[in-house]
Amino acid sequence: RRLIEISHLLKRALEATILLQLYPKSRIQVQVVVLADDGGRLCAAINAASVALVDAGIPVKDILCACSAGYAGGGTDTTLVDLNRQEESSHAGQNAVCLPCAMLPQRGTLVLSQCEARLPDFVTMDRVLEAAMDGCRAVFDILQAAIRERASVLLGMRDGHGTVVNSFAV
Amino acid sequence: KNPSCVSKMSSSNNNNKVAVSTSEQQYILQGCQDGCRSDGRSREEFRHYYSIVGDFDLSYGSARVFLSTGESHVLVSVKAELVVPATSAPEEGVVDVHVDFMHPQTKGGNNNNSNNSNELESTLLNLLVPHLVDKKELCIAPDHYVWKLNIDIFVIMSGGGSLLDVCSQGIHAALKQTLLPNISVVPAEGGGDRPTIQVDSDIQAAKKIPGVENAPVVVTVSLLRMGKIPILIVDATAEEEACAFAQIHVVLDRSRDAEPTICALHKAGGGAVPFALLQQVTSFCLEASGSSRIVVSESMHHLLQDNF
Repeated sequence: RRLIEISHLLKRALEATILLQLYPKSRIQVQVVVLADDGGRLCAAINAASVALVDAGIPVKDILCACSAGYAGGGTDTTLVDLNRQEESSHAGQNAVCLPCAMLPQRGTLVLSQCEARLPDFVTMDRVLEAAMDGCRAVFDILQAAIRERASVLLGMRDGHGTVVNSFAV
Repeated sequence: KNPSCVSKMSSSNNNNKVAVSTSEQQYILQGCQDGCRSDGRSREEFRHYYSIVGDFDLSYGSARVFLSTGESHVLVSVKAELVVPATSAPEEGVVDVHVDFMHPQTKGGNNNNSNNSNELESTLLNLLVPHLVDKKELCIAPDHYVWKLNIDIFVIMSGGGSLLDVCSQGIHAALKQTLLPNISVVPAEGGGDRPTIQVDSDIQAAKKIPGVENAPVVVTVSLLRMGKIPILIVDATAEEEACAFAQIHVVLDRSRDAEPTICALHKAGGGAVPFALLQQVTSFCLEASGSSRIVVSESMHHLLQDNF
């Protein structure tokens, strides 16, 4: 059931970034396989899917990035970024505050934001959301660097540099 | 394509076979008989598989085995947990295998897949798993704590044929590299008879599973028939498997110093195999694995690390 929900959220997030009007009467199918999960499944899936779309050559408005943020209440009052499974899991009967958020970093627009736990007040929510968006921007730097590197390798192949080793272009 | 030739070799798992036309079949059979298969190999030559070991940090051990063309690609991950042993075997650990296939994009593929994965899983479980590791080595405190090894196999691409072989290679590679935390047992004190265990979280103290270098591997010998003469080949491609009337899965123990020894045999496929042929198969298998060892190179890991 959780997986269906995650698929649905992923779909909606991707719909916000792909230029669907360029593909009338066609279907783009995205398949995500989770090999290992230590928390942040939805965010990792969104990041992977958006880079895969760029690798596939599908025109997108921006590289969609996702990151989760949380809030450790109690005495500490600290915001956490990129929660792992232990931090995400609910304990002591309450849901952990976990806010996965996806945004288009260069435009600064928020695409997805989900939280199922109680937050003390609006100020905290703003802080947590801001932390998540900062996380997204950090993810964007990494994704962009990887895409650029891949693109330079592929362009190099076109000119005859680089070798193909066991189906991985080096 | 000639549908009648496919029905001649019909068996319960016909859906898995690649469809081959009669001319393709002739070509393959002739090639195998002459000792030059469609990719140039001789009858007892294996393909060169690559492996990347230790990719997953969340698993205790992991391996990816694939062909350079990407036709076969299998991921194996080994995770371990502490469980209470079965009452029938209080001093033995447990090894469990689970196989998953990557969902194909075609709509009609769903039924086949569950059949495929169940079959592969049960074959592996019955054939290979009992010989993989000495279960007594997995025991920590008899009657209370033993290791349970969960081996998860994820098949990304199976187009290259000989899937059982590839999976067993993956299991071997993953197990060889699996590290289990060091556990010391403190005997129970006072009233209870349940000992406490201390898990050493230092990764330097983690050790490999004892005896795992001798973990056997499955070698599948496919039997093709040209007229009345049977032809034996090893490491068949999907097309060659479709032409085979039967396959024998041999579980082979390739310990370093000794000669390879056979641990178990399983006959798959619908064709009838005369008993004399079986002996031929086993000697062929021993010869093939002795002369051309299955080469699985582990160098890819560093290559990928540097570039991605």
